[in-house]
Amino acid sequence: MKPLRLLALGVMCAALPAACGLAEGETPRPVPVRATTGGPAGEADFARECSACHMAYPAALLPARSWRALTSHLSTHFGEDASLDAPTTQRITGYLVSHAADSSDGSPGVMRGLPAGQTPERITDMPFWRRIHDDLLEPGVGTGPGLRSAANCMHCHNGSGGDD
Amino acid sequence: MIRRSAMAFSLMLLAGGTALAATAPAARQSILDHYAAEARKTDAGFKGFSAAAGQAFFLAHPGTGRPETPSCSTCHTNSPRNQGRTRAGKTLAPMAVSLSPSRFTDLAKVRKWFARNCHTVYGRVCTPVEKGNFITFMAHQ
Ligand code: HEC
Ligand code: HEC
Ligand code: HEC
Repeated sequence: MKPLRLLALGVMCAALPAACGLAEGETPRPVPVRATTGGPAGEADFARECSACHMAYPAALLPARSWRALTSHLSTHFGEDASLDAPTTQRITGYLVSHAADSSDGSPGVMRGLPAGQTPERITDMPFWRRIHDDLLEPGVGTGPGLRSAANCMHCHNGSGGDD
Repeated sequence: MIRRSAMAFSLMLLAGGTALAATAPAARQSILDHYAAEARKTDAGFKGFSAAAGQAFFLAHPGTGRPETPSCSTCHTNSPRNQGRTRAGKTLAPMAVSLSPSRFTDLAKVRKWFARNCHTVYGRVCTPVEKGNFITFMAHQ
């Protein structure tokens, strides 16, 4: 457990493209996965509303079609009700889509291996994520009562070892 | 001149802070008044909220909602004085008003979370009496 908590080296998610676009066999350099903290219109709504139950996941880790699908049924969101009024949902969708993995802000590394016909609603179902994490999440390696879920990114990506 | 206006500004901040602290209980009371008015619409004999009923509602496992969220205490724990934890591992501030004074002071927030959490735990909307009981219980914690 201990070494996994020491990931807060290097730069922010902006370094992601390089980290995720590495050649076969190269070890990716850990970057802290940080929650989005605010900004203009849709981004502020996203940072406020989508951080209540988990970190505000970076928009650049799912393609636009995934964000559209996910925000089209927020009342049935992974077994919970995350519904919002229509204007707020629309602003958040706009922000996520325009910063998605396949937008000009995204990186080909995140999209690699994802078949065109697939629309995962989990980052943890993206092939890029599985390539990096599958070994870590084998029983007894990265899991445990403190982790609770693979979607608890900050359990491993936060240098302080906290969860949010 | 510059110093004067800087001073005025810090005084304003101070006054703002005091006002905020003083209005939290008032804001909570107006939310309770709102639910009491709703309750009277369907029950003319409504007598007031009960902290004990609020506690029972908080701890209940109704079995009518989603299997992942059997009870309010699934995330908020059995004690309102504890920190809570979501299914994805995020820490939540305690529900007890003595420890989290800003709880139940924003009607839009309160409505949003009653709507969501009653849906996932109880599989239905909660009644105004249930909501008022819940807030009354937390306000006494
Ligand atoms: C069990 C601990 C753990 C969890 C949970 C976890 N990660 Fe990681 N993650 C790691 C480790 C360790 C690496 C570095 C892998 C390596 O160097 O081979 C990493 C690498 C990454 C990378 C590649 C860039 C880098 O830092 O090297 C990204 C992007 C990433 N994680 C995103 C996420 C996201 C998003 C989540 C939540 C959905 C998440 N991770 C959850 C442990 C974790
Ligand atoms: C009411 C609580 C709640 C709110 C609010 C919420 N979510 Fe979630 N979200 C969840 C839960 C629960 C999961 C599943 C976590 C798990 O599997 O451990 C989840 C998972 C996710 C995942 C998949 C994580 C992964 O890779 O496994 C994404 C993406 C996501 N949420 C996006 C959003 C967005 C965007 C918003 C804002 C519109 C949002 N969430 C608001 C509860 C919430
Ligand atoms: C799946 C986890 C979960 C469950 C189960 C849950 N809650 Fe919550 N609750 C949250 C989260 C997340 C928030 C928003 C973050 C916060 O305010 O700490 C919240 C906030 C609230 C709020 C807003 C409080 C305020 O600050 O004004 C109320 C009211 C509330 N919950 C009531 C309930 C009730 C009643 C139940 C049971 C019917 C319940 N919750 C069950 C996760 C949960």
